[in-house]
Amino acid sequence: MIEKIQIVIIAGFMDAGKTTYIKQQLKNSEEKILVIQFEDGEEEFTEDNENLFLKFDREDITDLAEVIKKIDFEVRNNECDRIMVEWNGMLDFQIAVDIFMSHTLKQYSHIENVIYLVDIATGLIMIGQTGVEPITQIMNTDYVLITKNEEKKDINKVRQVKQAFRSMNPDAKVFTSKKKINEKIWKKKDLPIYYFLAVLIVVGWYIFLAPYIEMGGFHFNQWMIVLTAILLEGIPFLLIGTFISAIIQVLIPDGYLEKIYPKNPFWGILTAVIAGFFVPVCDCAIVPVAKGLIKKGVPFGAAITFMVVTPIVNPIVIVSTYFAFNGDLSIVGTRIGLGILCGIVIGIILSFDKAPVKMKRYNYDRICKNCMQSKDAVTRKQKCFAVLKQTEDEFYAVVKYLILGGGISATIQVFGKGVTTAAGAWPIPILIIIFMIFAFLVSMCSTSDAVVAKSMLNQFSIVPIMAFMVFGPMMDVKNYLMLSNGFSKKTVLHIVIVISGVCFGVLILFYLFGGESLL
Amino acid sequence: MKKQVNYDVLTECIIAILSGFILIIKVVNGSYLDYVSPKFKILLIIAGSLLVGIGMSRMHSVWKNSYNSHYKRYLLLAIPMLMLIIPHNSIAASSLKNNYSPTQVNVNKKEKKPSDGVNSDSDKRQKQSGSRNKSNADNSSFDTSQKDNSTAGNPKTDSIDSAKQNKTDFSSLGNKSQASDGNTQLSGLDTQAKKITVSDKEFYQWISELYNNYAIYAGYEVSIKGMKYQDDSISGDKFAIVRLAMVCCAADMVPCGPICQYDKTGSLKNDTWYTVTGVLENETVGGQMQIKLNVKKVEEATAPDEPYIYPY
Repeated sequence: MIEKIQIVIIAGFMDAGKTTYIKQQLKNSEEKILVIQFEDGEEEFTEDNENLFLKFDREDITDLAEVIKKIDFEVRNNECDRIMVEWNGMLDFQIAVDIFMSHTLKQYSHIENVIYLVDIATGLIMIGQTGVEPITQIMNTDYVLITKNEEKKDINKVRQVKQAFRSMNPDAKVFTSKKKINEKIWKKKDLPIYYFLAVLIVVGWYIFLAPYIEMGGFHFNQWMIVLTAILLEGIPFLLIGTFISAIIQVLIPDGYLEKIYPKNPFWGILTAVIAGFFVPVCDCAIVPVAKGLIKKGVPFGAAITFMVVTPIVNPIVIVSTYFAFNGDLSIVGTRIGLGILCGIVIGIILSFDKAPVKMKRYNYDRICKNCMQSKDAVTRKQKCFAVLKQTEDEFYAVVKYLILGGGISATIQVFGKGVTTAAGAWPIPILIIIFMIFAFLVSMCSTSDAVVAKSMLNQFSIVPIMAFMVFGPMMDVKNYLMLSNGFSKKTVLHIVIVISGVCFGVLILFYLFGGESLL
Repeated sequence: MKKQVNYDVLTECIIAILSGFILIIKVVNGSYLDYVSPKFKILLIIAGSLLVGIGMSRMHSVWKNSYNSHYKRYLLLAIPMLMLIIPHNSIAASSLKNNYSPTQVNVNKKEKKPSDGVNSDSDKRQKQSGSRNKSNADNSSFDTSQKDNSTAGNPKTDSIDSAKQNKTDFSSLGNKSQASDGNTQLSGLDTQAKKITVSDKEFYQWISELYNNYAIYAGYEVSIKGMKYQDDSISGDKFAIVRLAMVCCAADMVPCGPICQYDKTGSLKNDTWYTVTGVLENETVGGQMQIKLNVKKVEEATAPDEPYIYPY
């Protein structure tokens, strides 16, 4: 098979330094590179004999077949080793895909990498203001290069950019230095099939080795059954939860909730508690809604109450807790009661303290990829598709936390028996803190965390388990990341401290008033 | 432009649809019971259909080009599904030490009363149990029970459904009082010979019945099949004949079954299936009465079709 010509697409806004970057590449390379420009930059390429240049305007894009034909002609007549594309910052990436993955060009070339350049000073603000097209580029990019960062002083800013890109495209690697990215740019990626093969090999070895593993007193079989059981129990709730949440997000128009929400702190907190019962949205989807509420003028305290109470009192969470704890209504009731109590206290504290709430100027999680789908959906059929796509995306985004949490729980149960029996005897307040940290780190979706919590009940008393189930939905790593996308660091820290403090206090009270006798 | 298949989306569709079908097939053939209790049936079917629906809905994008795929995230879903189809053994009782509960499974550590009220029926039961004092507890009695079934007008011979058949047999025998009562009728009782043969299906019902109505059954000869189990508190010439009770899922299994007194306990292997025949006695452990079998006979047995029992 003939080696296909590699294509690298350089995307990003007009002033992100794309042309400069490509020029550098040309200078350092011995090969004949075809540069295809879809941008009218300030900086122009100087024609040279070594490389080839092709340029398209915005008008040309209207006729893709013509564009493809021109590129095809160029490649066929002048042999080139590689192709570099400077993609327009305001063009949908799908157009680039349609051009370079078209049947004609796919025969002898393929897109190797996509690099997104972002100006450290202005990039994020631009992304927040320019609509959907730049997001499509970010979502498809393999690498992100932060440019115009010569001083390398602003570590905070770099972190912000990294965080923002991670929230939009978790797979993209962010680089700050050109040197490092230059090593990757022409490098071939691992074919995904290798991942599958790797898994198959592991599975094959497992089947082959299983009897010997068991003989060594290593209960891998049991571990696997326990983990599978937790997943099998959690996945239906997770799916149904994301499904209903998707229906709400697609069918309820953007900003509707914000509009009807009461603006008075007292009614706000009360509404937060009651509305929670009717809004089957888990903690993963609630943070953007809460941020929207604050933006629309709902008191800070009330919005945060809404954020922390909804994931606990939502109907699916209630059902899953009921199922996991085997129909024990006292557990379900306690979880709801403690959740509401925490929420109200948190709301009151945040309403009374006058710490300034600082929101960031840009707010990109509102421009999520799914909102684009749901806005386009007009007919009933389109809406159905949008709901299912949204369900799928959300499900895949949170199922990893279920696998992680289930894995830890199964490991504790099967292998850590001695350790946890000792730990089970530790003072309850310490266990509460440990379980709150555990809940924070594993970031499980509240629709399925009861299953994991229940599986640890053999080793621990109900109080720390309750800490896991009450604190987890309110605050965890993923909520923290989502919050820090919208608020200043100080505000986020403030929220986290108040929530954790109140939660801990309420659970200690629960313990002192005989929480252990609940079971 | 000529259309071409987008393999990323195709993979995505296939994984979602396959996963959905795996869930549904697991429910249909009953193997989901190795992991979760029967109450999850409907939830698993909903989840399976949703996954199939998601996969189908993505089909229309198969012809659309896209650059960046998210193979890794599909792989995430493939993990639990692979784990579901990888062969596995059932969990051994000895790996669940310290969870043991002799007769009642209270995983939430709360007193829950098992179904009672069968004692009012004990008189009525004498009649019909005379006609069928054998059950399918082990292979040796299989032939007789088969005959019983056919004489009762129920030609089914499948041993898995023995308990169900027993129930239908009763109603077909015209025992109206039982049918109207609504209580689960336990089979294998022979009041004349003072014998109880516990079938695989009724393991849990029988041990809670024996525990709750000990006064009625004291001195009966009980034949029961389970795994041999020993731990720190049950040792020496004592062992328990247990089955694993799954309350919610495989993460909360409890070995459950009566304690047995047997002078040749040392010759029995842990986690092996035995049919134990012994006289029902009691014993006070830590101020609590527990039932105990004074073992007369132990036979090695084959594992039941359903390895676990589901108390709720």
